[in-house]
Amino acid sequence: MNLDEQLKALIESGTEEEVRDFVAAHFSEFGPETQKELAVELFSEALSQEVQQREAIIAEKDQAIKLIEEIEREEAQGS
Amino acid sequence: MMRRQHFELLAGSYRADRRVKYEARFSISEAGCPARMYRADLMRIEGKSTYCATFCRDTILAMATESYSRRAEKADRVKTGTEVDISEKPGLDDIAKNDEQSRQFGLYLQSTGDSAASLAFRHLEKGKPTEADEAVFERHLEEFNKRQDRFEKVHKAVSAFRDDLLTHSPIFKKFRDQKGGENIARVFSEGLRDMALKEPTAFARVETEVQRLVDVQDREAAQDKRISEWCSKNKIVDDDKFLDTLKITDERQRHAKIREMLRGGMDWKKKMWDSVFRGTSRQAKGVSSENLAAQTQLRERVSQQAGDYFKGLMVQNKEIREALARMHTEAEPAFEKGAAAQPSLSEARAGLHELDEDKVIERAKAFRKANAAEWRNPAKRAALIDTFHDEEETRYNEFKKKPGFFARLLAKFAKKFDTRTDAKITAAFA
Repeated sequence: MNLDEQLKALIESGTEEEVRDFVAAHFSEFGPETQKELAVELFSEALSQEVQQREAIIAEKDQAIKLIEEIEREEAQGS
Repeated sequence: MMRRQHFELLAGSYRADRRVKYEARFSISEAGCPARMYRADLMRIEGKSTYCATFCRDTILAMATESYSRRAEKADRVKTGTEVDISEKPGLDDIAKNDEQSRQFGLYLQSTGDSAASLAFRHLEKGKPTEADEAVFERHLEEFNKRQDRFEKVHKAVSAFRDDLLTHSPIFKKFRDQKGGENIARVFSEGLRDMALKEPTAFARVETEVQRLVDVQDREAAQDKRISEWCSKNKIVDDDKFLDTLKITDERQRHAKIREMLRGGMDWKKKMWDSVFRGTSRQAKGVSSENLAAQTQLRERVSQQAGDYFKGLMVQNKEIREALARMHTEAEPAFEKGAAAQPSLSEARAGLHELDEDKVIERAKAFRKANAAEWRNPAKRAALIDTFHDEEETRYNEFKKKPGFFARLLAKFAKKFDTRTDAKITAAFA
């Protein structure tokens, strides 16, 4: 079985971990077209994850800003 | 000496903070030279705190040097043809002369399904385009260049955080372990261009994600400014610790961390930190207006004292410093888990089996049976066969549209029925 066939067999019946391990371990051995496609898909996935994480950060910071605004309002009422 | 140690602690903390790295990298690309970049970055970071501005300087300058050496390396790679040069837009003559551009135009044509253009392209490859061929190409060159422009825009934006993703994203952890990052970054640029040319729908997804990332970074920068100003006004030295603490989603755990920070502290410090981290509205409930003013005054005084105290604490108390470091590292994985996951492999597999040849034949037989009455009419039969093929094509295309790494991998290898399958379908219909 060539690399593409091995990868195909893994994605049809292996675990996520096995697929990721295989891609990382053999990345430079794949043909140029497969390498390009894999690289774009991996970056797209990393991008999506990054956006989701940053949106979670923004939600946290929104909470922080709400706290700040409450404190400031209270300070304004107190002064 | 104490002051120096304190600064070093902050500098270390900020070097570890990828948000600052992002900001610095943006400034490097925006400003274009170290001096301007340095000023731009200081202006941006000064909003955070004076300490940060002072100590990020080293980090930023180091990044500028790194960026410059990378730029030189890139120039070498472009020269040797191992990196995509996105500065040129081809005309028909260039496509005819340049193998790489000819390949790219070929990819673009594949996605259009324009058979006249494909024929003209074969003439072009042989170096014999006719006038009619050129007219066909004119129509496509505009769209081809539009796709190139879109690629260029996305590539430029992605380049600003490509290296950070490679360095930090869990997706590339295995590549980092095996030191395969350099290679993947290079082929990514080429792959992205190919995708822009031949798969506009898939490329639009990447384009959207990039725009979302740019948007959230802008929003985050505005939030940072607001929080930093408040922290600075309230003499909270390290606003990132404030934010890290807030990242802990479990309220009890969050408060435990704050208490851990203040272990051995006096009651007034707890009051101060409760008011800062837990929010004052809950505390304010049940507090009379007379007491509110007194409480505010107390908080102002406590805030100043606690700010000073906390600064000293970070330098002097090794135990607290270690607790803060632990908090930083513990908060991160908990936060990482909070991020929504991509479709899993098993989710991506859903529907794959439906594309198997056996399943297609099974559906063909059932389709014929369901349309037995019309099947006898040759004209209607031809239309029914077309309908069946369209349905199968749609099923395949829907599967291919699924987002996520595993789904796209599966789509790459999913069997699209070929001429052999087509013959079997014809046999099933016979």
